[in-house]
Amino acid sequence: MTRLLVEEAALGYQDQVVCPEVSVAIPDGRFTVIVGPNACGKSTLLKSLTRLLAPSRGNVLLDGQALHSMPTKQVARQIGLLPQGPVAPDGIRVVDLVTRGRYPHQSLFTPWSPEDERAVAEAMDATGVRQLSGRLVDELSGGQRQRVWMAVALAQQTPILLLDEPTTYLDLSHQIELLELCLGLNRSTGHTLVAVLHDLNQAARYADHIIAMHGGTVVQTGTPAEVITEALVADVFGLDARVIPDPESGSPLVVPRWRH
Amino acid sequence: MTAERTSTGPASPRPQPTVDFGRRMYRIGPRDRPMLLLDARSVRVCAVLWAATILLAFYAITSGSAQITVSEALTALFGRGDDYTTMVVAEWRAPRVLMAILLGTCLAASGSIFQNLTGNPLGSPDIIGFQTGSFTGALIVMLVLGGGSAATMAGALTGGLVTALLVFVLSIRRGAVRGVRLIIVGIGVSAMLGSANVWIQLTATVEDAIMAGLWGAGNLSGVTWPTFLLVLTVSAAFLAAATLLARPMKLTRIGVPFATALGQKVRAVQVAAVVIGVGLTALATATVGPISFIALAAPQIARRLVHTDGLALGPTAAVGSLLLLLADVTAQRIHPDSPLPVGIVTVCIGGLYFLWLLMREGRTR
Repeated sequence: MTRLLVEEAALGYQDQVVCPEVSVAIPDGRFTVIVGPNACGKSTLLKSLTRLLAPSRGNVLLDGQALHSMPTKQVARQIGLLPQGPVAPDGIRVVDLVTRGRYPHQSLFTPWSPEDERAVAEAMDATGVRQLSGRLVDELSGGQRQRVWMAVALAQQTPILLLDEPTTYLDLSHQIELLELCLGLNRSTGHTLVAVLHDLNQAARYADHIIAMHGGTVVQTGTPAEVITEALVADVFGLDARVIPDPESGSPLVVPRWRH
Repeated sequence: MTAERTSTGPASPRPQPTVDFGRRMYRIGPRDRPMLLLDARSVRVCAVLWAATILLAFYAITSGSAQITVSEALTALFGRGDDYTTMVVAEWRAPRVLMAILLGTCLAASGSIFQNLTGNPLGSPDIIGFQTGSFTGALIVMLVLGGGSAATMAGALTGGLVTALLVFVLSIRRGAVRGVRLIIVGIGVSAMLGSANVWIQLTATVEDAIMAGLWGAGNLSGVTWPTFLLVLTVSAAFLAAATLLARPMKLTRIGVPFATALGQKVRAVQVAAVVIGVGLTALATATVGPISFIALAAPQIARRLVHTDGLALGPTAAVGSLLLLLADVTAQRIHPDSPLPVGIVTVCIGGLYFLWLLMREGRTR
């Protein structure tokens, strides 16, 4: 079953076409990772799965309905997004930021409900920022801040969650911590996750499903073992590398060749 | 997501987790289903500010250059005074005080909306040229076309709206308006209009130029009940719309992508915010002339008083009302024989505040 589909869509910004024609199915309940070199259209494809970018041709479908003609709040109750490099307003507290995630569930006449409070508490528990609740976001470290943003997206309580380069600007331990958190969410609650990641080895470790892109087109999709091969790494990234089994997880591990 | 999901850890599932907000909150509504969360500090600050405004309003109504005692003024307010006292208190002083409170709220709300929209404390309608544009419109009507006070109001309104449109069109780049660009374009347009205003005044006769100059200084004297009621009706609509916009605007501050993903029609919210913000400031300027500083400073003062993020409309409105009333009382009492236009007082305080803001920004960079 796939709830989220891209059908022969042309994607781009105003007069500039990034992806001339892409078709992608996002498998339900799986952790999908989009990989590819810089400027290959990864983020563009991810944005097209939200209302941020409407296809100029073709369709993006959620449950068979065109995403861009659905009511905005209805979409926001199904698909969440953690954008790249979000900026917190000055002087905001963690809890107030996480509360923003409840927006699609609130209305003029019910600005706050016990369900909202429960969802905010759960989102903060799941990301381990409950203790930071009353603190100012400005005072937190980069890793803590990214977990807070993750909590905002989780408070939205959507079955589908998109993450645009969530590990950028984090050090290695925080990158792994965030990916473990994503994996845990996917395994425990069956969230459908779609992330754009730069690191091929992390993608191979954590993803159930990989979409490899190059020059605005989808080159290959499948399990990490099917996609991450020496031929693909050479084709897509132009990198001469060996692919060996990861000694820890058994997933493909890309080791660039030593040229000296 | 399933409802029965429990929080992590071995503890038994809590039926109602209470979140630490880092400050005191009031929960409004039934005990088991609170519907509204209010920041306790914000509520207290608003109460104190409004109490101070009411006290100041009583002071402004019951004192002044006319030899009227407090008890006489109070009896006149309740409609049992002699003709002279009733005229001074109920016809002259009361509408003026109420107008100061109302326009203080309008200007502060407008400032709050624009500062939130541009994400910058300098993104205020008095800095980015809307008030200068209103003055240009008024000057053209007063000195070139020779219209009366109603026509002047219409001219100021048109001038403000046209300037806003001009600033926005000039700031658009690749289909989007960026805060800093808007502010810089606004300051430029404001400077150009300022020199145009001087030129128009230089071409007029001395009497006309003095009259126009007085209007341009921002003046609350001569406010009548019909004007107040008219402005109250129009501003009530704008202020209600601003209140409805507060929550969506707060969301936009976490970025367009996030706000869009959370189900907001970002463009629609921004357009509505601009219309309401321009409307509020143009209304105030058309009524009493350009009054700067209130829109600039009230939102920032309110933010520091309530320690909140972004838009705090309630406290901001309270600060704006108190500030404008205080400025007007000062303007009238500072030299009883020749009262100043309120705009002069706000510009003086505004200059000091501006200096402080620039020095503070300079230090944090």
